[in-house]
Amino acid sequence: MLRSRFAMGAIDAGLALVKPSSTIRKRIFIMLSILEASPHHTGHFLPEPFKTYNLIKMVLRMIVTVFRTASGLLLLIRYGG
Amino acid sequence: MEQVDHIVVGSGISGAHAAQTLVEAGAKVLMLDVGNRDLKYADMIPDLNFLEIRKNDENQHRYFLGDDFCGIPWGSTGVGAQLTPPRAFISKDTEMWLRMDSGDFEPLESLARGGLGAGWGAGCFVFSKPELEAIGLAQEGLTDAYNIAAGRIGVSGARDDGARYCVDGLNDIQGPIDIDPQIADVYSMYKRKRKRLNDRGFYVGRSSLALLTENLGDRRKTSYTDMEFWSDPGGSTYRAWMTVDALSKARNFQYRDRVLVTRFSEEGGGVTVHAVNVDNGESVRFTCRKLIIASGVLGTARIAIRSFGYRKERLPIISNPYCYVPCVRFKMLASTIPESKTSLAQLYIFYDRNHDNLDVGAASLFTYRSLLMFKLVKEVPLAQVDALRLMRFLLPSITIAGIFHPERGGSGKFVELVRDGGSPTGDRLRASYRLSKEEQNELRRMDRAYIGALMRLGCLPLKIIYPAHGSSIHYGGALPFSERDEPLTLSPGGRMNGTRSVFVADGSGFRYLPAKGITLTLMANAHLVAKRALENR
Repeated sequence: MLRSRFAMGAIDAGLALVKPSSTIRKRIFIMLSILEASPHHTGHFLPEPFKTYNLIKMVLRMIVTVFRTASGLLLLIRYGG
Repeated sequence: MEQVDHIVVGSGISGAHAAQTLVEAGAKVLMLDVGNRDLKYADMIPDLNFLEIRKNDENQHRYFLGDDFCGIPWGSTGVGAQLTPPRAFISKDTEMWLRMDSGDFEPLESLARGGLGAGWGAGCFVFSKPELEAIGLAQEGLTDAYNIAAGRIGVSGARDDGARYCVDGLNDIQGPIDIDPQIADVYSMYKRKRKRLNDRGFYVGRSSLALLTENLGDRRKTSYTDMEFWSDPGGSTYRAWMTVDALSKARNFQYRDRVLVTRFSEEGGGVTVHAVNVDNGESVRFTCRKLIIASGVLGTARIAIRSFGYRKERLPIISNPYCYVPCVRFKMLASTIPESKTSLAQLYIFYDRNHDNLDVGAASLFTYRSLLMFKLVKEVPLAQVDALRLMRFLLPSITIAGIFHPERGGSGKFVELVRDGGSPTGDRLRASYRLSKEEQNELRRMDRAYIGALMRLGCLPLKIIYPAHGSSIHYGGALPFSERDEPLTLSPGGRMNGTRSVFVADGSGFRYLPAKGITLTLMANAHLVAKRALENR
């Protein structure tokens, strides 16, 4: 299940609420920090310029986030945390 | 056995300044220290600003994350969480040599050259008369001592509403540091709401820091690289090792590292200092006419308890409670974080509810960037990919408030030295730090008042994070100042009661810790203690 990109994000979101210090989240966190400390990915970790387009994008992303979190919680209930 | 006139134990803020006073007076001084240094990262970090490093340096993962990934925090926020990998040497070897046993007290100790001061946030505060009385410090000569200390290290600040809580009485200060647009906006909002906030006891001022805005000797004024948590570019931020380095050029000063002082004994007209070589475990002894201990409050407590043979005696301990509060200022969403900035505190909010300059709360405001995004992402209860996107969007509007509270002793706050056959020193420190219900309620009340003030200043708090007791890295009171000549106390002048020639130059005597940082006062006190040691015959 964790090989699925969608499932990984959803499970991370669900765990963020029910078990924030889980091993899965820790692994993602380490990968995230390694990426951040690489000059090739710097742009993905610096503040986004404020534009109306970005604001709209952010609102849409937050809607996706809500669905991602709900799916994650369902997956955790179904398959266990 | 080696013999000198004066021995100073420890190279931290107090030891360095006591030694400087002795050396300048022509005394022959030996400084004993473990003296760990950063031999791994210091030369690796380019003298560039944070963004240039982020975009260009292929090696950045080594010092940002650490070769052993020690810079990737996980779990609850504990002591040392604020230490970046290049600062990890500050606490190196302490688990081995400074054994501590406590479930509710997590102090940070140091065996580094420069001590805990190597990671100091550089805040400089002159204490008020009521605060000094509560501490129990002899006030004679203290104003001059504050000025001497400030002159040595260089203090930048402003004569504004916050001045009476930080730079009052300092004759020469450098101009204040430049502040980010986010912080400037908070400051201008304060000016608009000044009367209402002042009526409630809140005063806001520019930060007073040991960060140069003008060149001072070999040290360069800050170039706003935003790298203060990782390196000491240009020596702009004062560190105690700079004083030790400068003293090492003097003929009457000798620095001896790799030794840990364990106890002392007074024999004849002098003092014998017992130490252990940390490389081979061998005992080593030194003798001197006067001993000045500046091992940090917990280190000095260990030495004193062993020297007096009171192993079961409980000593009081105090440490400022603190919390930090990430806030968002939505009106700053469209702003940009300037390329040139400082990571250090940019604005102070003082809470003087009784308007008497006693029991004043102190909050420092920071903007966030150089500690990297992933540490913020961890705190957000979302999938990390979403948290990252959200934080990238919000970052220009994020302000962090670090809130410190004043602290007094209590029956639940103590340390005691107990035997431990597995420890290389034969003992370990056991600590307890429990606040009474009244103290807890008072802290929550002050935190609520601060939250209210932050909201009035346009900062919407997102979360309050309470680190463990002891992680404020401000300690005091283990050998409290006392007029009575009792063992394990200090005279107000800094002599250890029950001894003739042993002085304590660190914060061990402080019976009260103002919320404002104690470092400048430690320097001033160390200077006076050294002067008294010179006068003492």
